[in-house]
Amino acid sequence: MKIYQLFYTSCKKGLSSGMGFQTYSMSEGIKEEEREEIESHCSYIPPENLMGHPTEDEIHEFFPVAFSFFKLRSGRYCICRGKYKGKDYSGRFGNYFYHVLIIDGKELNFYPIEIYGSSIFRDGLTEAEENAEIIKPLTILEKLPKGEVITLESIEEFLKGEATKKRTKSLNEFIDGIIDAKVSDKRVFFCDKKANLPLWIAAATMTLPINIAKSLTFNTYRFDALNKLEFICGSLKDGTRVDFREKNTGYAYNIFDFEEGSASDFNLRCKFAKQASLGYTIVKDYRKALIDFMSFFEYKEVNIDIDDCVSLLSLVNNGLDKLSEEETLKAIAFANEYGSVIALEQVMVILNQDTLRKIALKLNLNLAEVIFKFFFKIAKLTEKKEYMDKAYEFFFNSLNSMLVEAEEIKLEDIIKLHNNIRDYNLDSIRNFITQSIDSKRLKGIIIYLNSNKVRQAQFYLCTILGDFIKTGAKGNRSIEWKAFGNNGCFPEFVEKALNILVSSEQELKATLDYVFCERDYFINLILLSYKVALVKKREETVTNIFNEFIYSLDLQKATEIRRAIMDNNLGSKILINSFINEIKNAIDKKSFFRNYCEEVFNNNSPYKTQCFSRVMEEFLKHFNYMEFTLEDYAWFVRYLKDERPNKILEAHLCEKILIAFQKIIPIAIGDNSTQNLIGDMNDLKEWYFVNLELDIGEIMQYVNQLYDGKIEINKFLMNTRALKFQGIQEEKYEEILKLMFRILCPYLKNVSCHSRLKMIFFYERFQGKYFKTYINIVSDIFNNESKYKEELKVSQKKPYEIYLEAVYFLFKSQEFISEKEMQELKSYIIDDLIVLDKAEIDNYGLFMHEIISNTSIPQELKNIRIQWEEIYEVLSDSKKKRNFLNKLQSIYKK
Amino acid sequence: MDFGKKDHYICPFCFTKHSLKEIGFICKNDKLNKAGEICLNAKTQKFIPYESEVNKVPKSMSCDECGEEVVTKVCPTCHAELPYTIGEYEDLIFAVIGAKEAGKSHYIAVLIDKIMNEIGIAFDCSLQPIDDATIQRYRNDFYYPIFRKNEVIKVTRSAKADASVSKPLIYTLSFKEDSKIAKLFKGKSIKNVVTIAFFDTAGEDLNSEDTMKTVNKYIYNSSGIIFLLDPLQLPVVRESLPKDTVLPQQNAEIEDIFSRTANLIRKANGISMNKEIKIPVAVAFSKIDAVEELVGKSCCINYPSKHVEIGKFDIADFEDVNNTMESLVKQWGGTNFSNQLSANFKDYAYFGLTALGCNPESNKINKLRPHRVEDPFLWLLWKHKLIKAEKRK
Repeated sequence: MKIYQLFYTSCKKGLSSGMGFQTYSMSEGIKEEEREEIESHCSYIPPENLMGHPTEDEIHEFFPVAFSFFKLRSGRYCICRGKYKGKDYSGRFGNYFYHVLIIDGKELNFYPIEIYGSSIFRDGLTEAEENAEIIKPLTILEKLPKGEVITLESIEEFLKGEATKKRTKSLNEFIDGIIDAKVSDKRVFFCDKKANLPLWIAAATMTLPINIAKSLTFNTYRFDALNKLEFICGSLKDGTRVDFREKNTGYAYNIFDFEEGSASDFNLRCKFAKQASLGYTIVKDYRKALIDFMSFFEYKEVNIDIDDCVSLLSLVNNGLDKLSEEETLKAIAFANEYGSVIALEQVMVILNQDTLRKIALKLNLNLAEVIFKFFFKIAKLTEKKEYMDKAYEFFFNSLNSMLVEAEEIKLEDIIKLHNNIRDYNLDSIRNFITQSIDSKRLKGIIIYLNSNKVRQAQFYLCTILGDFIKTGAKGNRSIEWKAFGNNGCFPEFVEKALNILVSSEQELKATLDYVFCERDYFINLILLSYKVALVKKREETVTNIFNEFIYSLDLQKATEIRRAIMDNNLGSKILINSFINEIKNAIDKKSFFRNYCEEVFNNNSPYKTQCFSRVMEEFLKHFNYMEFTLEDYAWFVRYLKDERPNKILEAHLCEKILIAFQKIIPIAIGDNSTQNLIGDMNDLKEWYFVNLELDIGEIMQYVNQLYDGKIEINKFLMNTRALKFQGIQEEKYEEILKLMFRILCPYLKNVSCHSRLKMIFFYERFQGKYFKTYINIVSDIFNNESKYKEELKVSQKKPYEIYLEAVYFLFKSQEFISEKEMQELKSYIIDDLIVLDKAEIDNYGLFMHEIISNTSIPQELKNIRIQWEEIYEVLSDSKKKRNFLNKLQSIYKK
Repeated sequence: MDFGKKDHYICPFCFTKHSLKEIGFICKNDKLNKAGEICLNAKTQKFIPYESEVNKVPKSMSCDECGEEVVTKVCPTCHAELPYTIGEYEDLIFAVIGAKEAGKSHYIAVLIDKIMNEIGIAFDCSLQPIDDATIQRYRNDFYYPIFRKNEVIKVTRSAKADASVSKPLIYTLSFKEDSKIAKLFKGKSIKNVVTIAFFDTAGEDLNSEDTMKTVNKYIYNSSGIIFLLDPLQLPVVRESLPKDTVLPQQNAEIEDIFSRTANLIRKANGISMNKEIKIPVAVAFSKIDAVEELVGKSCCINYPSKHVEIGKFDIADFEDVNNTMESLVKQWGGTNFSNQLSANFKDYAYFGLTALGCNPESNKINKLRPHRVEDPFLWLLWKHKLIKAEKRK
């Protein structure tokens, strides 16, 4: 230790060029600016009420020593002992002597006040020094005896001594006053008897660690304490500048009159002062423990935070028992602000498992976060595994305590707390995860989950998976599920948790929502949930949740998830169920299905190949045939055709579709698109080998082909097998017949053609309808020749020929016609022919006679003739009557 | 002469020149407000700047925190509390300088007492301390030891160690209107007022120009300098006195101090060597009673001055003393000093005085007999045209 010295007094010769007050001499190594600064402190004004010309004894007895401590701008510390000297070299009074010690900051390892009584201090210059021609520099001291005036024992004795007010109580107030002054930028003045002045300063400053005590400048005596040189100034009650009777200066100074036991008003009362004031007398061990503890921290300036240090010591020793939440938070804040690595390590050293357990049980959210962070900070700073393990163990145990014991704390808040701590450890996230899924912990969690608590299941699943997700922060990719999903206890843990959660849709949804941001995790969790749900028959719950998520996404993301899901065996089931749920609820099922095909199937080939038919089947369950238009069928048939050669639809479903299609095919000459659609549907029918009982598509295809001339009529009549009308409605059958007969009948060359026509189009169930329509159409040709002009031109047939051949064929087919129907038909025929004149009738009779005569079967010939003759007779009679009437009319006219 | 028409003032602490409107206030309202707290401005002693277009020192302003009227004016540069009359009257700064043990403190102590009593009556004026600091300091450091305890004043502490030493004793000197017609015409009984600041100096603070520059700024800002010279420091005098005479420690600094002072004034005020300094300097031999034998009993110095008696500055007496003292200086080996004085200063004069009138024994003043202490002061007042003079008849 190097201790530099400086003497300041009024002398004949010193470092200045003249006489008077000046630095007499100093050690080498004190800078000029340091000297000037020191000189500015070297003033001693004796109390005004003391004798002007005191003797040496009087000086010793009455004149207080100005023992001061302050820091130079250079950073070095000064301890000064100023003593009134009386006369100077000139014999005038007013001289004083300052012995100043200058010490480097690091070397000041004692309380400055401790050396108050040190024998090192000089009271003045020797005569030789006073008269020396050449003044030598002062020596640099290496040792510093402390003396006996200020010791812990002397302070104890002093505090126990007689006084107006109990001194420990006064000390308590004094320390409060010092801290209040520091906080409020005030200063502290005190007065007492001369001998007590250093003891008060000692008692107050020695409650603090030396490093903090260094921040308190003081002077045991100053005449004019108002000159702002030192923070704590002692004085005598009388004869000095400070009026200790005036207490109303609380805004600028805290004043203590220890003689009277009074003090100025100030509000601050701190725990530290209360405890420290007893540290010399009652709780001596605590004083040392607190000083030692405080010394570890980078806490160098006294302020109100000192109470937080006291709280911190209480926290590490006794847990939260004696602390309010506010005190605890402040204690941690103190450690965070001032804790060096060593200090924080000390905290960990003192904290034992018992205390940690006590803390864990009393934590609330606020406290927990602060304390967790605090412990992790310590672990990080100290870089010691044991502290890291301690921090993690405490963290996990505390979280579990909150989950189980504090149900009033919302789960989201506990998760948030967990995440905040994880984020606090983001720089070592992998380590965090290692601890989070440590097999010992997971086993513990699996046991916790036996309690079947949804809250726990959700918490652990969310937080542990959340930890993995967090590995994806800062531009990294999260650890893939496959890297951990099947390892160790993890599968068991997840299954156990999901087993609890599938019974609780809301919590399961919340859990899935939690991992939704990480597709990989979400998909795996959905699949596992579904697997678990299958056993519990709650797959609909999972599917519902899946749908909620999937339909909240844009197409691309949803597609990605569906594709990924399909990689798993259960994937198709989930997707199909997802469809089923949706189609059930869809208002416009047709649109939903079309969209589904285009958006889901078209983007997911395996799913389409494997499941289209199944989905179609579900769709058909909800399908309203009337809702499907020709355009819809056109889309559908194209959709299937695009998949060729794959048959993504099962044949029976295809048949269903085709049957449905038959019902809406228009019975008319189709436009191109309709024709194409019918063609495509017929192709589909053939591709899927579907055999329809009623194939209107085929009929209409014939209609169109015949109409367009794509099939020759004769060939059609010759080659076409009988068409299937099984199950057709009568009206539709009639419409088909009308359409077909209008095309075909003008081309019927002979009776055998009429027979072929019947063979193709005759449907026994509606036989009457057949003949009625048949006669109607040929009647139309007969009566409206001009309408069929073109066709008749080609067939080179006379309308009456076609008509009479039809009548012949009608009689020939009388076995299929009831008596009543025949009579109606005959009447109808008579109505057609009765308008003819006699010649025509005769002519038609001859034509009929010729046809009938060609009838090979005699009985048949006979029957046909009978039928025709009945008609002919009616017609002949009618003509005769008419002639008679005509004659009567001409006679009448004449 | 109307001193009220000043357009600036000089802070008597930091000596910065300010226009009249450049001033600040501090709130001293220590009453507790409704919240039980003192005004924040008062608590923090916050400088409240005064803002105005009119170049006039305001009497007061409102505290922007508590709204109370504040009257305590402070210097905007050093924030020291200014005399309440600042800017209102002519400011005179009188510096009393001299070597260690020249008797500066004793001189000031006795001079102020003299002004307050005899000069006040004679010149119909009154000297009033301007603040408590002046009252207390004069009373404790100057008046009590000499007039109450009959003790010599303690060694003056260096201003470097005790900043309070460098603070002046500030007074107002008010001259009453003697003409009844003028009284009637002006409607007031005060003719003129000046603010006078006396600066005492520790001798050691004149030991270096650097120190003077920092702690004794008042010297180069002064309106008059009273340079006290202890004749017992002059080698010729010391040798001429009886051998049993108790002599002070010999101090070789006298001439050095004087040249330092002149140099400082020149440098600080930018006065070249070929120009004379206009600050009047009264060179006064203190402790003249100790060299009574060398001066001669019939010398005019030994007779009381007539200024007080006639209520005017007696030029005849002044000139007699001036001439006598100048010749004595030269006779006592002070030619160089005399040359320096005439070379540097335009206005200077020699005086002889004694503050105590006796040689104290064991720091006790047996009989206080001040003699001619008022002469240099009255000369300076005359030079500043504050008092009338009576010419030689």
